[in-house]
Amino acid sequence: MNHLGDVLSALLDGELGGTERGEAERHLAECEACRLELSLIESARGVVRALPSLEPPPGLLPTRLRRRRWVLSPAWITTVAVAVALAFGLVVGPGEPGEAFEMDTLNEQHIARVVGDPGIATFRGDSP
Amino acid sequence: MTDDSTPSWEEVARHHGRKIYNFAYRLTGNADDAHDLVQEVLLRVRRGLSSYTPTSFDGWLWRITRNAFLDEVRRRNRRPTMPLPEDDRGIGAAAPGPEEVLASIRLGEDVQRALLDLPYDFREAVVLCDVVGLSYEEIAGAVGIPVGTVRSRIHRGRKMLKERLG
Repeated sequence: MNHLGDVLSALLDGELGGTERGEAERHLAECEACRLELSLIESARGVVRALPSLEPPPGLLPTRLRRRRWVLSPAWITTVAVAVALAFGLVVGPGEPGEAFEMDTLNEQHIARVVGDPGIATFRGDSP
Repeated sequence: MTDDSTPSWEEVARHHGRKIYNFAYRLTGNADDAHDLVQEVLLRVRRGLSSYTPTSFDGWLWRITRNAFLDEVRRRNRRPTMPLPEDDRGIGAAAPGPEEVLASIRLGEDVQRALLDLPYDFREAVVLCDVVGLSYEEIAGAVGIPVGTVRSRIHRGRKMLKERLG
């Protein structure tokens, strides 16, 4: 009788096709030597598979792999664009038709707000 | 990960970094060697991804991993002042990390030592099957041997392991 040999490992690992598996199982039912060998390799296989899965040391894998990826959604792009535009004073609201901008006045009002200096009127020569 | 798309380098590191580390650790029994090997493999993966054509990704990755490992062994053989993986049995001694990692290493010390006693071909087949979890066909692809040889090496490796463990 030919013993199963390495077919036993393939059987344990689910690597046998239906026919070969059936033949191996029938052989095992009749062969004590193969059953003993099967139990030995099953034990060896079990202890290796039971080895703990080790965590790689910190820093081995690049840290950026663990950070969330930022995705530029349309909402984000709009928000950023508006923020940049506001920062540079580029946003222009709708005006009344025919309304004229008096740039000097607007500039003075802006400077007065930014500086917060009530004496700005003096600078403008409006003081009594 | 599917076979019909090329993963990014980050995906490879995220999905396979830990397995590569464990593969290297179980083959060498040494945390520093495992650390170096993972770095080398990820470097090679990064360089190789641009020319990777989707076939079997696992086969491709583990061929790279195995070749990197063997290159390192050969490099050390040329510089005998550095210990060969087989000669270094300082299991866990240099392993940094939390206490529970060290405890798990100690628990598996006997099995690790028995693994290191196996000839390389058998150790590699057993580790790829029982630690990494590759199929016989994937191992055959990675190592470049017929499936029948994989089966034989795994079986003989397990028998030798059992003899050493008693």
